[in-house]
Amino acid sequence: MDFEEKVRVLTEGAKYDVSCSSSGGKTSAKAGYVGNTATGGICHSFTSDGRCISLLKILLSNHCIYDCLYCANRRSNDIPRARLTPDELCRLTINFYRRNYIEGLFLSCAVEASPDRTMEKLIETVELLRTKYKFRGYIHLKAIPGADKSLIDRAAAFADRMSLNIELPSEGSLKLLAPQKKKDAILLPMRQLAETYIHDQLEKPRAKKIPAGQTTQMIIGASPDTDARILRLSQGLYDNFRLKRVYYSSYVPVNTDNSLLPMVPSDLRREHRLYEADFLIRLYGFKAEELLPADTNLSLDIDVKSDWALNNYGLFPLEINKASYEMLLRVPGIGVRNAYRIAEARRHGKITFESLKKMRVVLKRAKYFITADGKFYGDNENPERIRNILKGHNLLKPSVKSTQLSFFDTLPSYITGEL
Amino acid sequence: MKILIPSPNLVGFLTAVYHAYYSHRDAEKISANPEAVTLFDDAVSTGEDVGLARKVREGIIIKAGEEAYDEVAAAYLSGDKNKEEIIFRYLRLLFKRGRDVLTMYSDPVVIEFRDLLNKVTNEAHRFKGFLRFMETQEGVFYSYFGGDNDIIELLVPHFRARFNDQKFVLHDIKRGKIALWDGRKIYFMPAPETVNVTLSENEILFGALWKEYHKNVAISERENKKLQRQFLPKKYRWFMNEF
Repeated sequence: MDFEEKVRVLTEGAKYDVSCSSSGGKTSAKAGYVGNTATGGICHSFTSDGRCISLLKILLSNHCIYDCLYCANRRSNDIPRARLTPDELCRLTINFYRRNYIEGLFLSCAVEASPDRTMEKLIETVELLRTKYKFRGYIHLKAIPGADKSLIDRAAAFADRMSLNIELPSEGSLKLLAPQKKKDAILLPMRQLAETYIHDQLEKPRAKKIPAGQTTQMIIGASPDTDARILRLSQGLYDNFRLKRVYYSSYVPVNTDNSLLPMVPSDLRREHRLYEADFLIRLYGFKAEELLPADTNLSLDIDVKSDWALNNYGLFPLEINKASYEMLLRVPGIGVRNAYRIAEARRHGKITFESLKKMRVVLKRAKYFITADGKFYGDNENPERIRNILKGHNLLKPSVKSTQLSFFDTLPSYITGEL
Repeated sequence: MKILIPSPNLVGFLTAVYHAYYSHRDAEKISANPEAVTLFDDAVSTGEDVGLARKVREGIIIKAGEEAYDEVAAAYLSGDKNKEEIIFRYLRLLFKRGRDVLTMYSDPVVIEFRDLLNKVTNEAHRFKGFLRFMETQEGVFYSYFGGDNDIIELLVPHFRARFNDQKFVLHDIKRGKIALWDGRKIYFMPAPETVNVTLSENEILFGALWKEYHKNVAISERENKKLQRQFLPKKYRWFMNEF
């Protein structure tokens, strides 16, 4: 197999990992070295599915000893297998980087031989990249579940960010679909990375290890877990492990031969709503428990914030010139940036409905939840009627084949590398 | 109406601002857009004077701080033909209200100025990702591009830091401007008529690998070209080798 073919095969095996963010790095440029990191991350290109390319996302090898049902690289799949040497991988990264194709490397690997052996190989590669190739760009490195504590710790010294994928939102689903992956083999290294991150970032001012923290990913729709369960898990990961991001990956059937898995891709609208809820948890001060009761799913035909606001309509309408910043954040149609701007701008004078329009607040939603200088601009104050009107504005179209969706128009840049 | 016509550069614009406050206090606007001036207007060309421009710069800094001046200078890089008018309206407010203008987010004059500024800084941010370098046989990395705004000077510090160990050329084809890093110093210069580039062998190999990679990393079950266009408008694709 030639180099080009190997790269193709190993890209194929890596592309279902959603995370591509290059944010959170703290490495500045240094004479004689190549590269640095940009705090907010940088997107270098976009693929035909609308996702950002920020990092070279690739596997070192796709020879796997595991047989996880949902995974394209599972042992029992008859697919081309390839392996790159650490030096080949470094040359590819450096040459892509010098041409400004990428912000850095997102390196993962199938579990070859043993978790420890695989982790060692990954470390060898990134160490080579940092030392021989003098690379100071972004490195996101996968930790291999079950690898020894000391190896995880060594890896953290070379990476800007690390991640372990939770894969499935409950232990039951994990047992069923990825029987060789044990819950503790995933959670213990996550806890270890959390401790490293908290120690290095919050207690030592100029620490070196994983300045951009850790992330994880869950597959949505391959198991019967509810949105409530998924979001409570995310909430716990943010609170306890200080995760930077939880990514949700809508299940795509890559293996056709198993009755334990759905035959059709999961509805992309569900993934979209989970990301909305995730943003409300991370950036808007919501708790998962507020957003939906246990054992339920998010509504597909109204956005999560409007749904919450209508269920709590007694709190509204809010006077835009008086409401606290925390409450402004809870108004449908007002995002983080506009909440900040409103809070700043009103110190200099009254804010009117007209100025909200100029500030590009989404008034078709916000108008039911605010007054501007005492005046209400909605056409009614009945939560059920408002709910019906907002459902009519819903941009998420049912996805029969889960392709050709237009609803991404309303998304913030969370599927890009910049957050 | 009295209109001041500035020379087409930042010094010229700031000179015109000076005159609008001192020698031509009755001027209503500053505009370099020929369509904004009619036969009935009293149009006055104000030329450029580094000393006067510096006074205006210092005035902005005293009134509203360094950051405010940097924003004005960045907004001036805009390709919008009415930029002088928009920035001048903002400066009038700035000289009246001082640092307040930095947070008067609901004021129409401020909103218009910030929109202009954001278009410049957003394009500069995007180009930090979208620019492509090709390696020549001489080992220089050459990049050509062209956007809506004159942002080469906003790109240089980024690439100089990141690629300090490689010689590179940034070439804004739309504006005929070049910035060159020889490993020690940056040179800005007008671009020659033609630029001949002979690609290295490495370039041919890795350019092809990148095109393949770009294609293969997409998930075909989730094709969404509309979204791709939104993040990466077609107007930028001519200088990106994967398209």
